[in-house]
Amino acid sequence: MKVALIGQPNCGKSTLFNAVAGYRSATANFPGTTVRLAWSRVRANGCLMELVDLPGVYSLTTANPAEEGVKRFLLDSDVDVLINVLDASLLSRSLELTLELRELGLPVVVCLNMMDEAARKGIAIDAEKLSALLGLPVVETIAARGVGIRELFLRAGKAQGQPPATPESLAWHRDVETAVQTMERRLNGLPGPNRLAARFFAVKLLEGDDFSGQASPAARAAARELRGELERSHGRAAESVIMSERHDRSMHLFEKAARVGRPRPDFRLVLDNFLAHHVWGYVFLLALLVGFFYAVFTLGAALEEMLLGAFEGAFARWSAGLAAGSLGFTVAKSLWDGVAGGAAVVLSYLVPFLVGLALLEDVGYLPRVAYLTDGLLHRIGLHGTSTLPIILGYGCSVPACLAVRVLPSRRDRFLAALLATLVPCSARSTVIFALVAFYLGPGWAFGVYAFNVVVVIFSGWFLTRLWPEVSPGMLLEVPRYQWPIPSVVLRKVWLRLREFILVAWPLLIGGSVVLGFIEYLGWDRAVNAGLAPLTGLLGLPAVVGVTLIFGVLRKELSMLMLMQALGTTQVAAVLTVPQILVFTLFVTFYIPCIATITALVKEIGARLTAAAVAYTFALAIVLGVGARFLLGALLG
Amino acid sequence: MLQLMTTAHARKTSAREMVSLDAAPAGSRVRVVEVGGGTGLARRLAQLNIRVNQALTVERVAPLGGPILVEAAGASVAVGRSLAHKVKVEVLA
Repeated sequence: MKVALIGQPNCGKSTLFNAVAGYRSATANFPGTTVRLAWSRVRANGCLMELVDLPGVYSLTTANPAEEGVKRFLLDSDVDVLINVLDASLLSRSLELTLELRELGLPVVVCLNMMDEAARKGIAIDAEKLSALLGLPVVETIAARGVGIRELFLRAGKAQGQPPATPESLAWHRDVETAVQTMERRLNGLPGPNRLAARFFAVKLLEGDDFSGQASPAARAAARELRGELERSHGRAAESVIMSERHDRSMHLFEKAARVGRPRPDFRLVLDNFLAHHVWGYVFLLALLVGFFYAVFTLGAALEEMLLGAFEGAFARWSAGLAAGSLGFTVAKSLWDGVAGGAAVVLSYLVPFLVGLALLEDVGYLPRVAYLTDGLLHRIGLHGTSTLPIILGYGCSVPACLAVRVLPSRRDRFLAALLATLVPCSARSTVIFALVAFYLGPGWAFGVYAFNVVVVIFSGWFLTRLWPEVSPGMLLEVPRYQWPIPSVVLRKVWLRLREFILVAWPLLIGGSVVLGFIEYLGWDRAVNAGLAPLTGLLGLPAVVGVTLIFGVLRKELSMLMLMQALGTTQVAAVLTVPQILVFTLFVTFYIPCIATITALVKEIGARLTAAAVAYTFALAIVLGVGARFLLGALLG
Repeated sequence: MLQLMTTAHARKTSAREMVSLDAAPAGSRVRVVEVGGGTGLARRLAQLNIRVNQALTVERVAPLGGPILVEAAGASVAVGRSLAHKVKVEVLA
């Protein structure tokens, strides 16, 4: 039996999913969408269930990729029971989605989650009464503490094959009800095999939404006619009339089933007086970011040193039987470099970063960051919701590109993804630290970061002029702060880490082996000759050519190979100060790495990805050449 | 005297003029009178309980032309300045 969790954003769905699914869960793209659904097999009360965690949606309209994902799931999957998760402290608003789900004609179990938060707000809910009024089973839970979950799945098991009946109390106003029934008759049956109720499609058509995308021309004409009638008699748009019906019904349900008393004092309400303050909020944000990156860097550097030492020792023992310079040694060495590079150089920084980020996310701080930075981002044509992908970009461009899906417009997704790839990720930070900070001093490294911020801001300003659009503006629910739940944090970290381990790491190893072969065969000379125009333009030695190609695989490969290609770790003895800076700038900005390109294609499509790659390449050349001549003139 | 009082009262209610949400001061209690900007926007706002006749509390206003944080039926919502401009409200207190 197949069960899906569906609910509004921040209702605790994922906490509930995690409480039963644990680590055996997997994520998969639902066919035809970019939305990843988490699913897991769950044994509940002796019954094997396939549980799917759908993305949070406020209603069943289709205006963004998350809603598109839910729609495809409802139309194409063979789900048996829907568990509608509600934040009980926001009962009246949440019931509007419940009423929409009832119309689907599928069995629905209502999960009143966060009952403790409702009590804190002084809201007392009579679950039995609500159940009778809705005609649906209602179960009270506190998912974060595991309360009520057994009962919930017991009820879900019983609900199979029992679609809801319409109780009298939920009838709509007569004229709207008549319009719905007329529409239902004029649908002339549903296209293809379909498990959803005709009434649902009829209501959606009256809302101006051809949910299945397959309504007959006659049905669409009937919808136009009926919408016109509703608009004339109510004096406003038909979708607004229908939304009001649901709103009225949910207010009615709330008044019948809930009582609002005195809220208990809640210290979290005063927290924002500081954290979202117009001065202290920014001070805290800046301190947090500096502290966060400092912590990640210190912890990462310590781990890296430890792991590199261990790997080198292991390689020395392992390769003892191979003659240096032989093909066997070359392959073994490059294979090992790929494995060690992934474990020591990347994982060392990635794990602390992801843990910190998941904590910030789970506590509920990130929406505050979006709130605080919205004004600044507006000046470069974006809005605060874009901050999240850009901040994620400092860790790794891949999750940053995947995070743009929360943005409502295609243009905003493109801009945020492109800007996020320009920000130095942890791999490029390694290059900045190991080349610029190490050879030229930390001041120069700081300069590179500051210059990068200027370029990101300029790019945003420039691209919004190339692709102007009245940004729809920010509209974001800012949820309560909450204590992070360790199992949820760990699962988030694991899911993101798995992307690296399964996709990026094998690439790093493969790239390393290919380079080993190329060098063994002496092909690197041909590649360098081919790239001579580019390296010449940038004023870099020709041997650097092959390292730039491999930077597309992983940016830190460029640096490791630079030392390999120059034949020395004393980079400053071979390259001038301007050359080191030009190399670093070029590596920072040119073409994102292959893992990022893959993520970009998935999120914004191949054409926009090609545009993004072309832009970053052009930008890197302009900045590289500019830096060459400017720094050459300044520093001699 | 009674007449004076009623005219004063009438003047007071008419003084509750309509302003756009981005012009409502932080800490004020307002009631939504009109949501402009097309049905798509109206729908997105209504999903978060920002709809005609709903009472809102303006919790805080972000600097630098940033969003307005309002409380609507128990939930906090950040509304960008340009969106807030399309929501007309009357200030209750």
